[in-house]
Amino acid sequence: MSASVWVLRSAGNMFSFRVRQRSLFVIATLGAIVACFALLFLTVGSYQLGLHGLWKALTLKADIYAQVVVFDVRLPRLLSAICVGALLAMSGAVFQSLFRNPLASPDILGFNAGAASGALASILFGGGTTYLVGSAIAGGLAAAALVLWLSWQNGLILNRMILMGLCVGFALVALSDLLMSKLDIELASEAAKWLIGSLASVSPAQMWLAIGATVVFFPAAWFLQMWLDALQLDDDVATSLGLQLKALRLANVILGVSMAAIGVAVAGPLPFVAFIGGPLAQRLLRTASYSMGASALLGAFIVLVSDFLSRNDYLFLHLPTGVFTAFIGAPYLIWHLKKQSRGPLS
Amino acid sequence: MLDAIASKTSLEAHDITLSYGENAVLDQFSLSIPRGELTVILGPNACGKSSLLRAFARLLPLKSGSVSLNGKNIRKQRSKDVAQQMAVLPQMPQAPEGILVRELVGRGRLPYQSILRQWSLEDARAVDDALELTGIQDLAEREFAALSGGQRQRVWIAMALAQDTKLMLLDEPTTFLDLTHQIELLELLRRCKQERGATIVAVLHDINLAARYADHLILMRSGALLKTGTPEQVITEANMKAAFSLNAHIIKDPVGGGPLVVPC
Repeated sequence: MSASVWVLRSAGNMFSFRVRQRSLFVIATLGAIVACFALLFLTVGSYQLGLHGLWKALTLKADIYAQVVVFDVRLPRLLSAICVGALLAMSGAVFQSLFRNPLASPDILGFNAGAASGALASILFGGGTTYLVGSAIAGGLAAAALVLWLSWQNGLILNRMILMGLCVGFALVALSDLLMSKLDIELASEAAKWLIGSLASVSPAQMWLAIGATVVFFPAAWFLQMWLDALQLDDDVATSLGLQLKALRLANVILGVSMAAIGVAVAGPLPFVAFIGGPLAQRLLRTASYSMGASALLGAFIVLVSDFLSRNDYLFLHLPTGVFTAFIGAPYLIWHLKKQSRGPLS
Repeated sequence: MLDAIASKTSLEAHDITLSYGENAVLDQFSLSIPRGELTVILGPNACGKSSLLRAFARLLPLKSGSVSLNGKNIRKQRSKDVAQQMAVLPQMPQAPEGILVRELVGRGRLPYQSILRQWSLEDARAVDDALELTGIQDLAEREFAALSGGQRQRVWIAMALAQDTKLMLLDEPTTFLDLTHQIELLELLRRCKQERGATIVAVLHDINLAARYADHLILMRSGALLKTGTPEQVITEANMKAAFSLNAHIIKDPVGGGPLVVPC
């Protein structure tokens, strides 16, 4: 029953952290599950490798065909899937903490749709991947600013923000359709797949972007977790405890939008990934905080499974990854809404 | 000279004016809080007593004047430093969803934490002490949302205690509690004062409970100070009439010995 906690510290107390045994256990288990699934992802496919074959390919002892499959096809897609899932889920956890509501994730609030419109605009005006990320972030921030402005009335009204977010999201999807109609047919069909969310045509540049962003943002978010948890408190309580609310909120909005926008710039607005990670992590860890570590792993796992299903099309004909994240996410959202006794939309 | 230092108060308001729109809630208000005592702010609804507490707590912007904490303007100190000197419990705070009691009490340690020192043994000890003083060790691993009103209020007080400050401000901590729990809570505040030497300021509604537990009373009426002093000095028939427009007899509290208001 008692939540066992360890205090990790350096000599002289320069560093001092708290580790909950339960968190450690959950995160280690999730890590192991993701690792196992990654092996499955690398070995199973139209070209079957087996563990031994994978080992040979990784150590450069296999034939050239196996090495191409591993290094040029599956590994980039695996790493992109893991990083995109982690980025989206962490972004969701940031906004869910910030707005103290599990429904306040960037996909539901229309921020991801904004990032997607931004990215599409960049493709339309011939920016290519160089400007893709910048315009995705700009689009995401613009959508966030619009939603916040629309739902502001002597302070932020949460119910209104969720409804405004849905409206802005719909409007942006329409805008994306409009932008698509201006693209030539080949680009448009590629963009259409991307708009549902797909990892099928991730370029090496996009993969490195996802990896780089995860390497930078994961530790940042992990260190910032403490303040995210604190921001879940009442405004008055948080102010009394000495927090600089405005600065912290702004920093976290920028962090959250950046992570979501980079995820979207790489794999499109994969539905529900940002929404699902935080609340599921909260449930597993039995704590109030939307744990970054557990959220990231859950997001990675969901995208990995979805992309595995998308790539191996056991049931359907090459459906994009986003279709599968929606298959996993939508029932969870419905279950969550039904379970919530006092619904934020009531 | 020594007396002057000993009686120097830690919290003072200098000519503060607060307003919502055109209406001044507090006008040119000056006041000092005696150290090591339980001070209760009393007054009718909307007289500005919560506003006064929130002004002390730096939760409301002042139109003019200043609040000083330990001799320095509260707005000129880092918010984190202020939080190490003064704990504030607002009226009816909201707790994060799904939070456990120990976790919530631990949030009181935020003013001592930084990016590299997110949780220390000292933090753990302060939380344990606060849980013990408020008598809620058994609830530590329970979910906050599952607690009763009286228990929840204890948890909030424990959070304020974990903040380990010499000064605590509480805005209507007994609201929505039944009489037994109100008394339990005031006993707890008295214990905090005695065991920790804390200075406590609370806004209360019940005049008789205030008279029983407070060392010092501040009586307000429509944004102005009516009277300050000991319960005997403040709770008089004339003052009750002036503050609350209430005709009352003041008799001796047969248990506490202080004044007791009996409305006519």
